[in-house]
Formats: sequence, C-alpha cells, structure tokens
Amino acid sequence: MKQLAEKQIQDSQQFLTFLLDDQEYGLEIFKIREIRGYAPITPIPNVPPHVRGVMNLRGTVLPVVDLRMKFRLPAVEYNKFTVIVIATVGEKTVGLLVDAVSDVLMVSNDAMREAPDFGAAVDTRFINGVFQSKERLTVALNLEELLTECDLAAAEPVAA
Amino acid sequence: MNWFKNLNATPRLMSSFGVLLLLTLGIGALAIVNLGRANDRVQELYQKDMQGVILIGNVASARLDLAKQDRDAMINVDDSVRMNADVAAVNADFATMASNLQEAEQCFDTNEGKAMLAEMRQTLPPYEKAVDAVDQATVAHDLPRAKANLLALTSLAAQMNSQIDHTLKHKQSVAQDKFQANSQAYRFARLLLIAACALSLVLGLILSIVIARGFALPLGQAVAVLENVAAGDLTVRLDVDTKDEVGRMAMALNSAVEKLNNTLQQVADSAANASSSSQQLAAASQAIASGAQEQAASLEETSASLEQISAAVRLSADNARKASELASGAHNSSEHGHEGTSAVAAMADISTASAKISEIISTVDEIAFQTNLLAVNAAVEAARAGDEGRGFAVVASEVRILAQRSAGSAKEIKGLIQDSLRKVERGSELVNRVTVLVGEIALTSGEQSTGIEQVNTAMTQMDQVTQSNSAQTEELSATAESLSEQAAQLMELISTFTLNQDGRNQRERQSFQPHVASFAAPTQQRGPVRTTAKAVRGVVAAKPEAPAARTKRLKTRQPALAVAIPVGSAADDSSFENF
Repeated sequence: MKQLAEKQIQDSQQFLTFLLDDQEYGLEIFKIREIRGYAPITPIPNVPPHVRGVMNLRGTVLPVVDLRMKFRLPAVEYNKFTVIVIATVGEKTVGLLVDAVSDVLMVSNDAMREAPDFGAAVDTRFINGVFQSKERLTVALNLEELLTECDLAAAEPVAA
Repeated sequence: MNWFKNLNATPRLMSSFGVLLLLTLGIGALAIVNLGRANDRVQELYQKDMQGVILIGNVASARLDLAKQDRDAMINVDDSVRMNADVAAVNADFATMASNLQEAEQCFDTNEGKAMLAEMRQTLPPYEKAVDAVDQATVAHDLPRAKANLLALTSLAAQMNSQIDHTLKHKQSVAQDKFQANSQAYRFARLLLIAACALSLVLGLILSIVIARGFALPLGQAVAVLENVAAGDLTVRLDVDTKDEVGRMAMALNSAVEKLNNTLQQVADSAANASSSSQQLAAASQAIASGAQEQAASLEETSASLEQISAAVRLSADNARKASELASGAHNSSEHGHEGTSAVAAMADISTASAKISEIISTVDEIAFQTNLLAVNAAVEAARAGDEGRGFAVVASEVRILAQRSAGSAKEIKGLIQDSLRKVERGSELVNRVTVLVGEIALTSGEQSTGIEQVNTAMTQMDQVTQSNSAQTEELSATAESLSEQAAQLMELISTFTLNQDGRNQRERQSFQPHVASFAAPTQQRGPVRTTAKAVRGVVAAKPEAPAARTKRLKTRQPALAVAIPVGSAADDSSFENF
C-alpha cells in the first residue's frame, strides 16, 4: 500500500477536504483510512482536552481527537451529521472529529502554495501548504506534526 | 404768685392761716397795748388827778369846815363843850388839810402843780396860826379879839381858798388835758385797729378767695371733667398749671382719662378689626359654599360622564372577550356547521403535518449524508487503489453526485417546508399577537373598569366632602355672623363714648354698622352670596370716601354709606371672582 502511494506521487496528489469551522482543510488521501458518521465516544480520564475519548471501530479501539479543540476553535454541538475521519498517523490510527467532509480532490503540485503564517489558529508546522479549490483556500494539514506523541499516548498502537 | 400756687395744700393753708393769725396777733397786740395805755391813763387820771382833786377837795372842805368850826366855836363861846369840840374840829381839820396836802404831794407831777402845792403848804402854817389865834381868843372868851383875828385871816383864808381853787382848777385842766390826750390816743388807736382789722379782713378775704379758688376751682373743673367722662365724653382734659396736689391730681386725671380714651380707642379698633374679619370670614364662607355647590354640580356631570365611560368600557371588554374566544376557538359557531375551524387548530394541524414531513425529509437527508460518506469512502479506497480503482472512483463519484442531488432536493423541500412553516408561524404569530392584544384589551378594559370604580368611589367621597364642606360653611357663616354681631355690640358700647378725634375710628364705625343684617342664610342661594360679597366689596371700596365724614360726632351713626351698598340687582360675576 505504501509503495502504491509513493507511486502515485508524481505531479499531483489527492486530498480529502473537510470542513472545520467553515474553513476547508485537506488531508492526503493515503493517510485516510475511512470516513464515518458520528459514533458514540467513550471519554478517557487524564487526557488532553482535545482528546475526546475512544471509539469502537469494528472491534478496534481508537482515540478520537477533536480538531476544533486542537485548533482552539470554538466548540460546537456534535450531531449525527458530524463526521469522524479515521486517519493513519505513523503506525497509529486516530479518529478526527470534523464538521463535515467536502470532497476528494486532485491537486497538482503546482497548485500547492507555501503556507503563510495564520497566526494562532494553526501553527505553520502543521501545515504542508495551501491550495485553491472552488475559490477557497484549503489548508493541507501535516498530521504527524499535528498529533504529538502525548496525543497519541492514549491510543493503542494498532497495526493498520 | 406762682410759687404760692405751686405750694402744696398744707403749706399753703398753713401759711395763709399763719398770715391771718399773725395779723390777728398784731391786731390783738395793738389792742392790748392801746388798752394798756388807756388803762394807764385812766389809772393816772384816777390816781393822780381825781385823787388829787379829791384830796384838794378834802383840803377845801376841811378848810370850809374849819372856817365853819372856827365860827361855830365863836358862836358856841358859851358852851365850852361845843366850843372845845369845835376847836378840836378845827385842829382836826388842819390836820386833815395837812395830811391831805401831804398825800396830794404824790398826785401832782407837774412843776406847776408842785409849786401850787408848795404855795398851799406855805400858806397853811400862817393860816393855821391865824386860825389858831382866833381859836385861842375864842377859848379865852375874847370874842372881840377873836373877831378881829378872824377878820385878819380873811385874806389868808382867801388866799388859801384861791390857792385851793387854783389848784383844783389846775388839776381839773390837767385832768382835762389828760382826758383829751386820752381821747385822741383812743381815736388814733381805734383808727389803727380799724385799719388793721380792715387790712386783715381784706387780706383774709383775698387769701381765702385765692385759696378757695386754688382748691375749689380745680376741684370744680375736675368734677366737671369727671361728670363729662361719666357722661361718655373722653375728650375733655384739665388744664394743669400748678405743681401742688391739685395740679398733680389734674395730671393724674388727665392721664387716667387719656388712658381710658386710648384703651377704648384700641377696643374700638379691635372691634372694627373683628368686624372686618368676620366680614371676610362670611365672604370666604360664601365663596366656599358657592364653590362647593359648583363642585357638586361638576361632580354630577363627572358622574354622568363616568357612567358613559363605564358603559363603553364594558362594551369593549365584552367585545374583547368575544374576540379572544374566537381566537382561542372556544366559541362554537353554529353558522359554519363544523367544529375545529379555529385558526389555532388549523395551524396546529399544519404544524403537525409539517413536522411529519420534516421527519421524512430529515430521514432522506440522513440517507443522503450516509450515502455521501460511503461515496467518499469509496473515493478514498479508489484513490488508494490507484489505477485499479479508477472505475470504482467514477462510480463513487456518480454515487456522490446522486447523493448530493438527493441532499439538494431534501434541502429544497426542507426549505419549502420551513418557508411554509414560517408562514404558518407568522400567521399564528399574528393570531397570537391579536390574541395577546385582545387579551390586553380585555385586561385594560378590566383595569379601566376598576379605575372607573375607583373614580366613582373617589367621587362619592368628594361628594360627601362637598356636603360636609357645605355644612361646615353654614356653621362658619353662623360663627361669622355671631362674631359680627358681637363686634357690632362692642362698637355700640364704645360709640356711647366720645373719643379723641381719630378719623379712622369714626369712619370704620360708620362703615361696619349696617352689615350685621347681611349674614342671613349664607348657603341657600347664590344670589345673596354675591350681593353680600358685592356689598362688602362696595364697603371696602367706599372706605376712602369716609374721610369727609370725619368731623361728625359718633352719636350720629347713620352713615352716608347706605348709598354704597347695592342690594340685589347689579351683582356681576367678575367682581365676585376678583373679590
């Protein structure tokens, strides 16, 4: 699978875009394992606040990270339209709470731009770059930098 | 004489009596002295002159007797006894003559007298001798010698006789002189005494008159003043011109009368004030009474208006209730024929249907969402699958499109439903608002009714207050009337006195006399109220006219101001309001 993914990286990449507080973010498609609707989350004590808890995905227990909280965005009520993006970070799998998923996009490398400094919302080391889609700037996220070890400490290292 | 007039009574009387006493004393002294002198003269006349005359008369009679005895002895030559007796008698007579002469010595004070006496005494011894010679001759029975001796002593005898006569005459003249001197002195003394008496009489008269006048006159004046005061005239005063008790009495009387005058004047002023105050009181109570009447009339009008308002409010409350029932659907309308025609019920039905449709739509929405998710998942798998997954990716994207379409349709329907719901809501909102407004109207009407009730109550209270005001005003009027009567009585009492001319007093007394009668029935009608007010105002305005009447005495109390009191007719409202 990884080899296939490297093969794909020629002059474009595919991104899954999702919506977070009316801002589009993008994740590399190969990082995405699955997209699910909202599922019950079991809270875990003594974890950072943006780690909402854990969820059961067909027998697998993964941590669920609230990207809103991570990005220090105002919290919203999560309903049945909330989407959980199951992503792979290194060897660990994690669920990301997002508002909604938008699209799967093919973005050429030319279209990718360097990330400017957004300020407090997103730390620039989390951002691989920005690209334009449908007259909106989408932020390409760097999940590895985004989710530190301590975030993932709650998660069981599960083999993909 | 002022100092005299200023003496007090006692010194004055005593000095006057003193003067009179002194005069009396003087007259008495004068009389006594003169009487004494007269007595002295009489004494002298008697002791000296009369005694002298008697003594010399004794000498004369003794001489005559001895001459007789001498002759008797010659006659009685034969009778020795008688002859001896006669001779003895002759001797006795000579002794008598000598002794008398001796005694007469002290009766003769003048040199002439004394010379005569000395002559007689000188003549006596030879005479005696000669007589003795005769007697001897007789005793010797020598009658011719006796006779010759007798004839020889004739000259001596004659001498003796003439001396005696002279002496007697002298004494007589002396006595006469003395008597005349006495008479003169008596006349002079009498004159003096008369003069003194006259003087003292006149002085006494003057003093008595002065003193009497000094007391009686002022007393009389005081009596006159007091009588005047008793009669009521307090303007009289005494003239004070002395500093004695009478003067002080006059001053005291003056000040007493003055004080009385002032006090009565002040009382008159106070009575006048009371009268005017009671007038004002009466007028004010009239005003209140008429005001109360007007108030009562206004209250009635207000009451009527309130009735109308109340009816209108009741009507609107009724209508509001009906509208409210209509809005809430409690009113069962038989005309429409079926139930549940209320807007609320209808809207509730629409809401329920809309809710159901919403449910279905949300289900569709969910399905679309899940489908989308699946499609995205498929796209992800297809992307990861690379070349092999391209066809799959197309299918996935088609599915996504379908899902989006259905989501879009669901959204449209949702929009439509929301739109219709909104419209329904608006309608119900409007109905609600109407209901609320109607409810508010009903509430307001209720409040209005309550308010009207309160106003009614207040008006009833006001009515009661007005009535009690009227009653109080009647009492006030009665009180003012009695006050005025009493003030008038007081004024009458005072008017019996004549006080010092003070125009104010007179004028006011004249002004306020007639108004005692105008206090009848103050609250009955409005007419008398206004005329009385106008009358009082006419009096108030007429005050400046009264100075002309200042010269009148108070006894003439029918004033010229009867003209200034318009009774009845010309009462104009504006003046009353201004008053």
